[in-house]
Amino acid sequence: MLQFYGRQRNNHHQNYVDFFFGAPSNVLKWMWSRLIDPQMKLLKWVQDLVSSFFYHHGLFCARYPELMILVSGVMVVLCCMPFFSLPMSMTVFHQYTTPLTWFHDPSRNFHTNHHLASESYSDNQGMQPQWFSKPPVGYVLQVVVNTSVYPWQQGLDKHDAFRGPLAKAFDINADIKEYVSSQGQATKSLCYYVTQTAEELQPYIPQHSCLVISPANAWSLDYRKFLLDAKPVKSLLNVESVTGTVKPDLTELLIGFSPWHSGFKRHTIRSRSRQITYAVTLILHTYNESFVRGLQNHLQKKYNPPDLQEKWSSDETILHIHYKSVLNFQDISVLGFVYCLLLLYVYFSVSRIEMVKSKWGLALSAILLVSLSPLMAVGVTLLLGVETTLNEGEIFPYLVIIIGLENILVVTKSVALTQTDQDVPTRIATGLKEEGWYIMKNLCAGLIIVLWGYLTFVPAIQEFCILALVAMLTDFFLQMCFFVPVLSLDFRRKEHDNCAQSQPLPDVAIAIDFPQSMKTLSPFDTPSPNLPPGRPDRPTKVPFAILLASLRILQRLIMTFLLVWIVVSFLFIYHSGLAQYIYESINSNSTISSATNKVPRVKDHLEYLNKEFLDNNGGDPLQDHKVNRDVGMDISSLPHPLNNFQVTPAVTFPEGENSLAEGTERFLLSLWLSNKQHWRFSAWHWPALLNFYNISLSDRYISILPPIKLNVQVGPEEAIRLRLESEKFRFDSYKDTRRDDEDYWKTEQRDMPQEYPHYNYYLTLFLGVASGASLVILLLLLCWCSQVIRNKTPKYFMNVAIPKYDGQLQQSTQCLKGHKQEVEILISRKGRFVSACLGGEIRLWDYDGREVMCLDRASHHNRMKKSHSVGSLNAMLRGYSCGKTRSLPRTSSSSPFSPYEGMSDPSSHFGSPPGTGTSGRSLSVSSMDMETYLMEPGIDHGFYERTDEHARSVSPLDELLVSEEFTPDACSPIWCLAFDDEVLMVGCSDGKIELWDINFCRFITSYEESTVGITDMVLRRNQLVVSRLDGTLQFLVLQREGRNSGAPQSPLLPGSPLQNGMCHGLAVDAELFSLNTLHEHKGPVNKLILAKNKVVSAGQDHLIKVFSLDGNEHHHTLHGHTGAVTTLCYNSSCPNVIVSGSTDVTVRTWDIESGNQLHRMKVHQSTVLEVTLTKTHVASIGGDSKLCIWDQQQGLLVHTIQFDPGCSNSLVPLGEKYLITTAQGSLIVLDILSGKPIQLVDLGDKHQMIHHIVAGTDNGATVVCDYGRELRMVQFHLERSKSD
Amino acid sequence: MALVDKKIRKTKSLVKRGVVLFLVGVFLALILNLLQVQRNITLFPAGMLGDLYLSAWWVPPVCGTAAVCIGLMYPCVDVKLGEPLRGKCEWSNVIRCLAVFVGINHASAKMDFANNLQFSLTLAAMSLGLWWFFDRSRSGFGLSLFIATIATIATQLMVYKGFYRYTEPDFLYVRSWLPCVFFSGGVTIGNIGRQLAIYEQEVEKEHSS
Repeated sequence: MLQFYGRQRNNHHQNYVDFFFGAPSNVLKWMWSRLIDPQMKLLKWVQDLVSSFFYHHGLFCARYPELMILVSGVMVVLCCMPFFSLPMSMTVFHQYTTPLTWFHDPSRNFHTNHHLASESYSDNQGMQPQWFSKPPVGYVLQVVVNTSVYPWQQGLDKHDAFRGPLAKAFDINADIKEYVSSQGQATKSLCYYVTQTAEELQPYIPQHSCLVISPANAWSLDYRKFLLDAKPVKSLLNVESVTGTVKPDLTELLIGFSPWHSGFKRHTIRSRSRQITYAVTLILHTYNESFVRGLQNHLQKKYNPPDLQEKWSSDETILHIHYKSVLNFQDISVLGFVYCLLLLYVYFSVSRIEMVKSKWGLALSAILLVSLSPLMAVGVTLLLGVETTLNEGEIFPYLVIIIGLENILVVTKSVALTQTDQDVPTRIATGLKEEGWYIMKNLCAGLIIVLWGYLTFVPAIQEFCILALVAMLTDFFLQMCFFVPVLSLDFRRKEHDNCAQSQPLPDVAIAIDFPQSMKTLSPFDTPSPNLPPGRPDRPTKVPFAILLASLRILQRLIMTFLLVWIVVSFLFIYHSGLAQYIYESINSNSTISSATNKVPRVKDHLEYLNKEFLDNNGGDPLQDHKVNRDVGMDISSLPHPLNNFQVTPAVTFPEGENSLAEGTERFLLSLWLSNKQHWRFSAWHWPALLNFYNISLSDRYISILPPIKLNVQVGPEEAIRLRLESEKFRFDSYKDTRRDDEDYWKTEQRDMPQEYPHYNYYLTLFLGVASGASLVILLLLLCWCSQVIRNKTPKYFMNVAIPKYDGQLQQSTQCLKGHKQEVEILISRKGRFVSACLGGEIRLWDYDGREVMCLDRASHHNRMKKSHSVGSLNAMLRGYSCGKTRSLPRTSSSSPFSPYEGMSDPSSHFGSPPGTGTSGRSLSVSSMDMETYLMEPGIDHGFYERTDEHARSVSPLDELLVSEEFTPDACSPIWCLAFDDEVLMVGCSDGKIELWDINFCRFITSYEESTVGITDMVLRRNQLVVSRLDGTLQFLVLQREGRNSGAPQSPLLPGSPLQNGMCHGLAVDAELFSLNTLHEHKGPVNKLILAKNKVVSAGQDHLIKVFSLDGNEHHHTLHGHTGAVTTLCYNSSCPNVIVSGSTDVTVRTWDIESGNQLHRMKVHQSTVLEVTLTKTHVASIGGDSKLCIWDQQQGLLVHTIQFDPGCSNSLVPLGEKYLITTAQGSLIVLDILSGKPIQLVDLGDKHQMIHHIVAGTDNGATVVCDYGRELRMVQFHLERSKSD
Repeated sequence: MALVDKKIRKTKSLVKRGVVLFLVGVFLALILNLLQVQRNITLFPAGMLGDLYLSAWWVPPVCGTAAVCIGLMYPCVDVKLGEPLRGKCEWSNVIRCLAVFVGINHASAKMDFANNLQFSLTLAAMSLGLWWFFDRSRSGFGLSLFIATIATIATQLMVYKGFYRYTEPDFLYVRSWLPCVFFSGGVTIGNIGRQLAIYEQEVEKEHSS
């Protein structure tokens, strides 16, 4: 379909035919494709996204496998931890509920002689499970007590919140035990009688009496002991240690359910009202409805506030839990069979792994993975609070089967099938990418199926589906984070083996790997033939510090330490309750309590109360808790000690009601609502409890009656009273030991909880700040380290004993002398090159090493200056008109100067202001011929007399001598040169363009349109483009006149010795005409190059502009650089591409045709000084002394070589494969593909800076560089014999 | 001579396969029986079941022979219809299918459903899922369906004739459960049979080549 669509786009003609003569199905197809196309695009986009995710993940895992394995291990441990707190029991429980109302105890059949109506019994007969026909072990009746100290007042401390509620447990316990119903049934007769228990448990649970459990049992039902306890919660919670690590522990059994829901907190900071819930558990052996209801009424009447009576509703049910022992034949056999199937499955799957190095290793990790996922799933569900009724042992094999090992096999196969020449991370990433979509599809399909299963609304299936869902997700996570790194490790080992087989590794110290970030392209991994493979050529001793740094041990240590510290501080914060404090202070809309508790001075208190106590009661009042309560009543009639302090109800109701009763009710009701969920009790509670008495519940069941709910409110006075009593008791007991008053107060103060929440607060704050600060520092350190390592490229020291490479490139060096001063400019073209020195000498050489020509500009300039002083000359020359033809008189026989007539625009080139307009023509006066003319005796001096207008008959020689304007100042420095076969152009700093004839080494003319210095110029045939300091580009045309019509002169023979200034030969007359002057750049133009038939200018104003050679067309402006463009390069082997470097440290390649930037490459840290271009690569040298080689097509960095600072300034390609760069006193030849220097050409003095280097364009095998005052020409023989 | 050889080899392979399938069938029948027994113990009152371990002595052998028939029929039908399954034929897949089948039965034995409609729907969905996952061929589907109907009819006939009593009180429950079990069982056994056939073929290829 899509193909058709594509065809339609490309092939209109075909489509035309199809439309009219084809079947109408074509139209349908076309419409269908239109519809589907956007969806397909979306799908494709999603697929691409998934593929790229998998690719990058694969790369990451393969690069840091150990880290990933560690992370996944940590996650596994975290998720599996709750799993170990599950009670390991061999029973499975089944639940069965019956309604309460007309429930008949089947045990009645056995215990009493009541004859039940058979209809009511047999009604349910069919539906009842088999185990139900027997009587249960017992009936559990829980009295759930919800208490708190209300209303909270200032002056209450945090222990008060617990002590009051706990004291109620004693009361309720006693009440239950002594209850006698209206029909005369006592609890004692109906309860379940228990006998002896283990020794360590004896103080805590009842023995030889009714089984009634409450938190009061923590103090062995001894009220006195309870009062002696300064920290009741702590001792209650510490009871759990008696039973060890078996869950549920004793605390849970005493409280009735998990302490999480009870409100007991071990560590508290704030004093506030807390809602405490616990249960008093009573187990009956028969169910008597009237008794139970009577008990309920009694308790509720006694403890509940009057309005709140919660009765059992009519649809309350009794829950029967049957504990079926798993150890029976059928279960075991079926389970065994399933496990066998699982093992077979695993075996068959694992045997399909192939093409890997270590099959066993991968098989083990696969098995580990697939068995850990369900465990993790169970752990995670437990963490989330979902407790399953399924037996984990039973469903484990099914979970594993559902997860399956397919993904692992598929990934392994796909990675094994990738190309072996790539490096391991790429292989892993590619393999993973191939299969990524398939994995995601499978995962989604699995999730959908599981969701579908969830919708069946069968609870067991729903639980299983939840587990399966979590297991699938954890399996996916483990696959990605555990198996992929393991796979990469395996493949790495395999690769090492392969490498070891092919080339034996030298037993050298660890060769440091190039950091991966540098080598972003790996296909150029082929080592250069003369170096041993796999080892960079460097000194073999590796310092230990570098080794440490490369292994990043220090960083890893710091990281683990910090992780541990953060975890510890968070735990500390959590335990100190700070989080809760903050949470509550944010959420509470009432000021229940403040941190600044005005604690009543204990001393005053106790003294006062002591007095009162002893006065009122005399002796020890606390024998029975009942008496206690009476005392409490009395106390409240006393003047309240706290009345001195502010006693205000700290809670304000949002409705603003003042009626306390209503407020109470609302408050308490809200307590209940928030507590509904604690009814998810653990079914393992009862077996654990009965286990203490060696009563086993296997294959028996227990019935849980609906709980009796009590709401007890403890008043603040009572809480305080309890506290004071407790303190008094402690005081009393201390008094027995005859402690001193002072000592007592001291101990009292020590016992008193330090009400300094600020201390903890500040400590945690400090820890948090310290952690945060160190985290930030660590991150910065990591970034810096990674940067350092990235930049830690091997240095190639020039002076260190790096051996001179056994250069297989044969070279021959030639020394070219001649200049008197340092060579400043060096340019080359075709078979010749030109050098210019500081002294103004210009020499032309060819690539055989012969000097072709020498121009002494300085002397010429001096001469011109001299003749400038001669006024007559001046005037005379002013009289010259610019004509078309002129001849150069060589000898007396030559035609004389033909005076120009009709001079319209006289302009002198001797410093007079430039002529008008842009289309001025240059007055070309050859000073040399003037001189010769003057010197020659035979010259017709009448020449001077001809120009009558300005004639002055002064002897020029005389004038020369007496000229006062003769100053031997230097000629304007040369800034750029351009030449072709006949003429040489000199661009000067004063804006002049001097034309010189090469063959006859004589000055032709000069163009002085402007005084702005010429920064660069290019010459192509007759077109000259000149760029100036002010950013103007001038497009000039060179018009050459033919030879003079005089006697043929022999042209300069190559090889003949040249004389300074006195060359003779055929003359070329030339003139420059300006075509266009364009003010294009806002700053000076740094470089001009010729690219194809266009000229490209690089400006200081960050722009690169492309023009036609005549300046008529401005093709493009290349925007992109953010700094001045310093260098440009063009290579005819790759047309259309130019490369530029700039001060913004980037190197960019551009397409001249379209004007688009092709690539932007940024590695240098400082200005890019030089760029050069070969067919496939771009090389750049920056101010940071780095040489970077880039791949031109992709714009990616291939190699980076660091030189000594100040070493290399320029760079040319040598042939197709090499680069030459300059260093101090030598040249370095680098191989482009391997990025390694392969040859060092020593030119002599190691301290001589070499500035320029140019390559001969004939075959690129010769280079010329300046060497102080000399030139060095090095010829390479590029065809070398391969050593292998 | 070669033809006789070939025939001998072919019969040998058939016999081997048949034996394996028979054993598998018997074993599966036993396991399922155990599961059902468990279910009865947990969910239904005692006193109704005659024997705790075996409902009838002849059930496993009959299941075994049925397995043999199904297992041998599947590859033949495949060949006849011309859709040989090459893609998913690995032992791990077969074992997985078997485990899922046992799991379905296990689940149906352990769970008590609110009403029978839910139960039968769930079971039917699971059976279809099994077929979709492990065997997507139409021939497989058709064959299993055929087997299920045949078996249900046979069981009904037997009950009608009084050879076998339903021990479970709920008629409908069994009616919905039985075809699903036969369907999924057919798919499973068919998979095993196919795999065996391919295995034999490969062994033969190795021998001949």
